[in-house]
Amino acid sequence: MRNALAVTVRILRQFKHDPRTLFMMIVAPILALFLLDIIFGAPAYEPLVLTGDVPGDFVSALEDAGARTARAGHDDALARIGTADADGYVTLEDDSLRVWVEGSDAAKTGAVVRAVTRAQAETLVSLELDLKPIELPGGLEIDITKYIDLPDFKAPEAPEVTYVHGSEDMGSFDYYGPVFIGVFIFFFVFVTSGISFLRERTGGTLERLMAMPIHRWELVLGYAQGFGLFTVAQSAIVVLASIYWVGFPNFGSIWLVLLIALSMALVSLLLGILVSEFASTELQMMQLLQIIVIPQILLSGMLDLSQTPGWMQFLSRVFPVTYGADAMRAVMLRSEGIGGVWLDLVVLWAFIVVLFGANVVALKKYRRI
Amino acid sequence: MPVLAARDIVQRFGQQEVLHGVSLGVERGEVLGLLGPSGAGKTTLVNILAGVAEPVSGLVKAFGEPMPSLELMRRMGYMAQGDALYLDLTAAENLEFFGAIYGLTGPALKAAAATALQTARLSVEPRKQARDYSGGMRRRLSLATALLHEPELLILDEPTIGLDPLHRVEIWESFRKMAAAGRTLIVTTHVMDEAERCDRLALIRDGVFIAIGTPEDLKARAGASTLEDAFLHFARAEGGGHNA
Repeated sequence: MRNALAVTVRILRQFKHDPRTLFMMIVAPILALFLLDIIFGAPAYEPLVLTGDVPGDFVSALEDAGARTARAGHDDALARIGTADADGYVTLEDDSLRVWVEGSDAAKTGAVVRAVTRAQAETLVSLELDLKPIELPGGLEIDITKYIDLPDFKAPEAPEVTYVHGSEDMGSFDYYGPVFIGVFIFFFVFVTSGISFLRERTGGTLERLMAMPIHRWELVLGYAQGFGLFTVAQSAIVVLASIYWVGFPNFGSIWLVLLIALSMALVSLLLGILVSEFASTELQMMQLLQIIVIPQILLSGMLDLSQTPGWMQFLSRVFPVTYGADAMRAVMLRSEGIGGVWLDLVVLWAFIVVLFGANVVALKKYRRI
Repeated sequence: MPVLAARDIVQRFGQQEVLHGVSLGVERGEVLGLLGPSGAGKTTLVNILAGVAEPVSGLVKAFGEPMPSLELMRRMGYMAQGDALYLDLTAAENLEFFGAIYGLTGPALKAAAATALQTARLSVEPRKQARDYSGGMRRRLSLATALLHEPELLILDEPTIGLDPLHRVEIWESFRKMAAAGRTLIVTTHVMDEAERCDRLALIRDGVFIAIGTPEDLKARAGASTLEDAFLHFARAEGGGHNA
């Protein structure tokens, strides 16, 4: 135990001598979260829709639906779409709308189609309102609505939405934010601890330690404590900066958020040490990162996986990041307490225990006892 | 009872056998030199003696007990061929860390560090990280960290490589002093004038001891005036099977 403490002190001193790493591990995640917040928080894209042979009220309806418009002839319009100078072109052909879209960016295509669809609905509604009785010369009035059965169009009213969790002010990023906090901490701790242990091996100090009266578990515990203490500070700063400076919504307990972040960091640290076993250079460590960490982040539930194939959902359930991401969301967005996330925490700590053991066993390669 | 005894050590890396059954024994207060070219198996053997590696077959006993054992390691000091220092720490922090593993803290550590640095002929600068030290200074710091806990048995792999001749001479004088005080040293080298200072020499080549004995004995048996010539003589004869 005293040996573990010696390792812990040593690691903290190494951090102290390496202010750049300290800076990177704290500032880099905050910077990334800040940038993502701005990107996701930007107003919705306004597609440029060229209009051909369509009525004027359709054009204004398009603009109401959030599109920029410009009149263009058919050939000119297609040419401009071809060079991605415009996002879409809409015209009437044989009394039905035809829409061309540029098509390489699904988000822009969606924006065009949404605007056209909404404009179409709007103009149909106003069409109905136009069906006033027609005045004929001689004071006769014909109300054609009496003779034809028109479907009853009504301008749709905005439905009333009640927020069980979150609020009206939440941007789309706010749903991803809690996951990003966990994921970034996971990522940076993995890299730092992995490279730190790799250096222990390549620098010969691991071999030297194995010639000294220190138990393998003491070495792993020393690392866990040293990086654990550091990540407590790192998580706290990143979480607090995200919430109070970048402005992430947090509807739950800040302490619970910190506990989850720390648990994820510990998993990451032990995983990083274990994985460094399979790398002989720092470059190889970065290559392993791409295989071990990136898939975990992609499958963490950051993006919705409910419609993906079963094997992918299974894989996601095998990765520890998934549980951390889930717990982060539950606490920060749905204000759940420990009762709502205990299972996630149990899984994370099971990973910690298993990875700790795996590291102690992996060190047998250097010394049997 | 020898302080350290190794019997029939065979080591293999993959298909390649690098030690073909070597045996040696070192008595208390003795300086045993392992002399041989690089690639002869010196470091492999020394790692096995220090308990850092285990042989495919054979037995190592330190103080009469089988290695590896944490209790025995407490009484041993090991200096690897690489400096094995934490380059981002200062010299004092390196000494504190390695000292702590042997249970040295506070004033005891301070005193031990001062003695070890004196023996290693190194004066440290308080705020300088080890990475900013010259190669020779790092080597001496590495030696100092191995001496901290005043081990009864010291296993040193090329301790004086890259040192200036004056330091080399002084450090060998300290080795002799330690031996005179009853401590035991196993030192690998490929420098002949260092080999002359050992009580006994094991000449190692291609994973076997080709000869063993005091420097004078080896020269006499080879009919050579220098150890270099003696080494050549035994290498050509390719004795093998000699045990120290």
